[in-house]
Order: sequence, then structure tokens, then C-alpha cells
Amino acid sequence: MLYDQHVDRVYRLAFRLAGEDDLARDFTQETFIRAFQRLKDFRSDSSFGTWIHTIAMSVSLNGLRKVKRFRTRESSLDDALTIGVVARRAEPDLKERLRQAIDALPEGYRTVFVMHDVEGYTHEEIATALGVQPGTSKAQLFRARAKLRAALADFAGEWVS
Amino acid sequence: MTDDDRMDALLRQMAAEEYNRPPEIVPRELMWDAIQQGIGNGEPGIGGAPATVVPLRRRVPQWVYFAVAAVLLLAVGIQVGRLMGPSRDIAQVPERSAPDSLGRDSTGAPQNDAAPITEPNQLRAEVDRSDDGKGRPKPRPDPERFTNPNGMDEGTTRAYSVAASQHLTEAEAMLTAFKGDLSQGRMDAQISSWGKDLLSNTRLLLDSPAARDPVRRKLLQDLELVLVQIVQLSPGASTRDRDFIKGALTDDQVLTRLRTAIPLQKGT
Repeated sequence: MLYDQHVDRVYRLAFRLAGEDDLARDFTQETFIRAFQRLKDFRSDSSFGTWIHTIAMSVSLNGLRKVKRFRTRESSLDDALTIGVVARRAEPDLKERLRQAIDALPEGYRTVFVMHDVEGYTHEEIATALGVQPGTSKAQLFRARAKLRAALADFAGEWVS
Repeated sequence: MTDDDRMDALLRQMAAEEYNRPPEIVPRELMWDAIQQGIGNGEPGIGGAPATVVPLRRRVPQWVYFAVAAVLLLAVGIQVGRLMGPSRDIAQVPERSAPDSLGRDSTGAPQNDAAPITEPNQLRAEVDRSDDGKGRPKPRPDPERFTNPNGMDEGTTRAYSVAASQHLTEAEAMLTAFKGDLSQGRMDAQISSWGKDLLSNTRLLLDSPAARDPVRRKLLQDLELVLVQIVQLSPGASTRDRDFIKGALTDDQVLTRLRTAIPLQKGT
């Protein structure tokens, strides 16, 4: 069944991008609902997997933009309520710094980095799913890695040694 | 291998292991249930007929919104015109018969052609009463033909009725979509903006002659209440808030009453 063949990969990618089970489930469900509703539009000149990943990326990125807008509003309210409270945080460790650095990447860079370096998609698959040229995907990955290296430069010494 | 390459490899490895790591077990069944609900319990399996469920929002063509808006605008315009226009209607001007050869009317009172006509309506009545070029008075329209006991002409009454029906149709579509979202525990932002539009139109209709019908008025009032709750529902609202709206929908049977109030259309 199409669902069983593709659901794991779609869910994994959605989870990597969203970071939450609820959102990942929502995005996956929405992806399959849209796909089944538009099955008649599916042309067999590309594989179903490629097609469903195109839908998945559209659903996930749009969904994340909405969530981000909503959370930005919420956090600005929270900030307003906690003005004057000095937060004392421990220095985040490497994993946390890496997470923050990836989260801080521009959307396009982060998407390509997650798809290629984390989930192992090829540049051709990424290009089709995002509707860009493979060269664009490669360029964005290159820039994403450069930004991550810069963000984590203070750890570079201990890593490469 | 350069330092950058080594660092990239390490970053890649660490990101794959740590960054938003998905759970080992994918909740396939849970998602499949929701998907089935989402596509209207249709079996969308391989090779099967493609599910043709279209979101309710899209079932209502764009032109319907424009039509509803136009009709409402027209209805409001007519009503405003009526309120601001002269209070006396042409039909209320006492009819005077044509003067006889002695210049008297049917009551025997002499016709005073030089008498000033001060009332605008009277002037209009005089114009209307002018002869048809052959010395005969022009026939006057029968007021009963155009006015109903409420003082509104049939065309306006029909316009309000059509506007109300279209509005109720749209409200039914929106509430059905909302109920679907509710059962999935989510809230589409479009529903909220749709609800706002509907709420404004409901209030307009409540203030219009379309709400003179007591049954329709009660329905519009209940609809307004439900819409207010939907519009105020935030995306992160608690289950209790959602249940509250669900209760309002169920207890007052708003959806059932809406469906009953919507006239059957051709092809349905």
C-alpha cells in the first residue's frame, strides 16, 4: 500500500523539520490527505515517492511558518511579562549549540541541510521536492555548512583534533 | 581531508544522531485513522478510485461570496434609502379626479390651478397624474401590487430572502468544516476569518427586515452566538473551550436548523 511504503520517510522528515511529534503527525496526515485527494493529478512520469515528498515539503514548510508566526507572538508576550527577570543559564553544551545553530539557519539552508546531511536525500530529490535546481540545493547546503562551522567555531579545535 | 571537511562530517554525524531525532516507532495506525477521517472515511488505496473529497471551503464557489456581498449591499442600500427618503409614499397621496368642464373636481370643489404645490410628493403625484396626451388622466399604479402589508415591495423582500438563504447556506458549510476540524482537534486559521465574515453578515441580517420572520430571527441569533465563540477561539484553545462550542452547536441544533432553513436547490 502506498501509505505503508512512504509514511515512515515522510514522518521522519516532518519530525526532523518540526521537532515535535504532534506537528510531525499533523504534517504527515495533511500530506497524505492532500495526496489522496489529488491522486488524479498525479502523473506517473515521476515516482509517487518524489511526488509525495513535494507535497510533504509544501505542507511542512507552510505549517512551520504558521507555527513560527504564532510562537513569535506568544514569545513576545512572554518576554513582555518577564522583563526585569535576569535569566541565568548554564552554558549550553555542544549538542544544544548544534541544535540552536541549525534552528538559526535560514529556512532554505536548514531545509536542505536536514534533508541532505541528516536524512540522506540526494540533491535531485531535494530539488524536485522544493521545486529548485539541483545546483541551488548544492549551493544552499554549502552555505548552510559554512554557517554551522562559523557558529560552532569555538568547538572546532576539540572536534578536529 | 581538510579541517572543514572533517568538521562537516562530524556535524553531519552529530546532527543525524541528535537533531530532532524522530522516535523509533512511527505512529502509523494513529495517523492512518486521522487520514481516513480527513478524507471522509474513503478508502484511498492503490489503484482504487481517487478520493474526490474536496474541502468544504472550496465547495462554495468564489462568486457566491461576491453575490452574497452584492445582495447584502443592495439590501442595506435600499433600506437606508427608504429610511432617509420622504416618509409619505406616492400611493398615500389622495387621488384627485380630473376637473370637469367647470373646473371642479368630483367633490364639487373648484380646482385651483394656481394653488401652490408645496409637498414634494404632491408634486410627484401631480406629475404622475398628468394626462397621457389625449386629455385622459394617466392610469396610476395599484399600490397593492407593489407593496406588502409591511410596507416593503416584493422585490426587496425577495432580495432579503435570497440574501438570508445564501448566508445560511454559507454558514452551514462553514460550521460543517469547523465541526470536522473540531473532531480532529485543530483549528484552521481560514475558518476563523471565514467566521468573522459570517458574523458581520449575520449581524447585518439581524438588523434587516430578513429577521422579521421569528423563526429565522431565532436561528440568526443562535448562529451569531456560535460564530462569536468560533471567532474568539484561539488556535491553542483548550479542549474544554472546543467542547463548549460543540455543545452550543449540538444543544441548539444549529446545524440541523440551518439545513432545514436552507431551501432545496436544483440538483441537490
